[in-house]
Amino acid sequence: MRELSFVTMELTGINASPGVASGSAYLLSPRQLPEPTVYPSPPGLETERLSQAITAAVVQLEDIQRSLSSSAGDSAAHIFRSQQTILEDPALVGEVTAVIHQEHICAEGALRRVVDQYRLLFLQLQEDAYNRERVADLDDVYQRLLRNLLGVKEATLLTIPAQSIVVAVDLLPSDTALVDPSLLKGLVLEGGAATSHVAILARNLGIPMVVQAAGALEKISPGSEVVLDALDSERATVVVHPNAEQLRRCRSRVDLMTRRREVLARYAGAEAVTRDGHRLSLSANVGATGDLAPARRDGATRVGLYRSEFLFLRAATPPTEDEQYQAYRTAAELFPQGGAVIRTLDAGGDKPVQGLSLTREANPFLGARGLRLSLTHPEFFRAQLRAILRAAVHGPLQIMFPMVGGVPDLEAALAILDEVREELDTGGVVYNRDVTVGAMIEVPSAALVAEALARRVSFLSIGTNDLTQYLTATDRLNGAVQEYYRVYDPSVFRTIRMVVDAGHRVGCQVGVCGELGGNPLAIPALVGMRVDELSMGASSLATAAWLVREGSYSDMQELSAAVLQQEDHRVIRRLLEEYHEEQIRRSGL
Amino acid sequence: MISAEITVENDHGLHSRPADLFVRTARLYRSAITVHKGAASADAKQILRVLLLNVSPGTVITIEADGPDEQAALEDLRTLVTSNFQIINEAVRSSGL
Repeated sequence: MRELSFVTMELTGINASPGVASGSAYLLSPRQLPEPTVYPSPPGLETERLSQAITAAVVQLEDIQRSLSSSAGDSAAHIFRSQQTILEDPALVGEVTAVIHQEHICAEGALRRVVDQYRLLFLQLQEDAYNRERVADLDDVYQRLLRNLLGVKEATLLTIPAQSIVVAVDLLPSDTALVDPSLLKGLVLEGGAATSHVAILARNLGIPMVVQAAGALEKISPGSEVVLDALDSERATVVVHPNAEQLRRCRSRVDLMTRRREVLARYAGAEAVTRDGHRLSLSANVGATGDLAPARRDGATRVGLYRSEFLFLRAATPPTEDEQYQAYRTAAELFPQGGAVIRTLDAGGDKPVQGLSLTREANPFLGARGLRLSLTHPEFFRAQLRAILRAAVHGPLQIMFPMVGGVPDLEAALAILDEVREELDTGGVVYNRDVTVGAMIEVPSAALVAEALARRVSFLSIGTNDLTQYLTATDRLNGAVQEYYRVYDPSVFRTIRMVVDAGHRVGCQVGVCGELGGNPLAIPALVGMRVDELSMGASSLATAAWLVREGSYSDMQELSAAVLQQEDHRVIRRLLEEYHEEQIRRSGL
Repeated sequence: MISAEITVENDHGLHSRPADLFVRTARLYRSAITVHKGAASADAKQILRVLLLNVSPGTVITIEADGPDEQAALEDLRTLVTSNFQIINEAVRSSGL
């Protein structure tokens, strides 16, 4: 007699692609390609078989790239472009051909021998070596060539039933590339990694995925009902044979996620006013001209940070004054109401620029960056200032200087700006006289004299990424010290508060334009500190507007007062999370 | 033969996409091109060898080019790396990003 009730079971793993899903398990046992037992034909023929298999593989990979760039985007498609590059390596083909000739074995056997050698080299890389996982691409290419040689059909997930949650030891990028996202609800892997190419594909396709789910194939039987919960940022849970309550909870969470997305989308472009009437400005950070139109689609009415260095980074030679003028004019015309804050060249540090010949520096983040670089290259600086002043005729533009270290730097920059204005006057060039100027606060020495700086400009904007890096003395690109780069560090919040107060004492506006300004946990505390403007990646604007409009200023002031009293970043994070969860609960989301 | 020392500064170093762009740029030239990282080195036209060098962010590499078009090859690769893989040779760009 068959047992009808199953025992509910839970597996845990690592979240590799966020989401919630329920469906029935589709088990994919480790693939078994037939052993190559072909009696070798003459070496010339084997080489010919190999080259046909490669040609076919290139065609298959090109098809995948075409289909993916429309369904999952270019970053997904590029995974297969890289695999194509492996196939196009004449040295690799040469090595396989040599084995065919020397050993008189079939193409399959020779291929395996060469690939095994490379695989061994990859596995000898350090455990934490980023490229260690690229062995999956080598395996993927190998399996594809082997299938082509043996005439076996592509083993993708093309024919899975609807509502499938696929359970496997591991998957190769090709397995997931052409899957129908309407059939595949989730992925559960016993192995795998969150940084694998399969994980990137899953995230781009919006399919939840759990990796490192030990014992999954053994514990989950084919067709059994499975709930996959990958909402936590790290851990993910797989419930097998969920009971009625668990199923109901899962379905309601799926509904909730959908509803939350829909609700938040409605806030895009809404005015940022709290329920008790406190108003501030929300604006977008953009990296280049191509980001302007998408930012508008996301509801941005103002650009709080235009990173002009991208005009320089993407060009082989520095852009001319006229090229810059055109770019800034486009920004001015696309944002006729709110305008755009053009940050002057912020090169150096992690962003070297062609043509501004940077000599090698032992500590680039403490070196010739931002305004320092502009002051040592006055010809570039003047051209950029002229371009901004001229473009501002077509819409409201502002100028902002990055990496200001103190009063002398700022005064030197302002003096050059005055000279440039005079030059334009004398030359009879049309420009906007009313362009206002601001300084970025990223360096502790600037934060500590913020009031003196504020007296000399119209606005200050706090760049929290560099500020955090300099306050905590932590190189944000050095993986070994990431735990010391504390986003919610008390020193960061206290400095922001100090700068806001200093600015307001002399009637100067203060904004935040670093990552923290778009961080949903931090936004209420920043609003509570009376920050006048938050500038962020445009995709965060809707959530920010929701947080501001559905909250009250008095609650946010209370939150910021509590945050400023803390001594440990972990406690601050907990306070911010509690507030966030409370707001979600209040809004019925 | 000429060479240049460059620091790789993008997010993950010469990993999948940057490594691919790097190798495909090197393959445009007839010169022999080698990447050195400390004592290890790799043929810049062999993607698997370049991946196995495992060049992580902040690593200083030396690119060595030897052949009739060594100047252009070195300049092109230097531009690619120092632009954080934003400035890409047109021939590479058109054969798939």
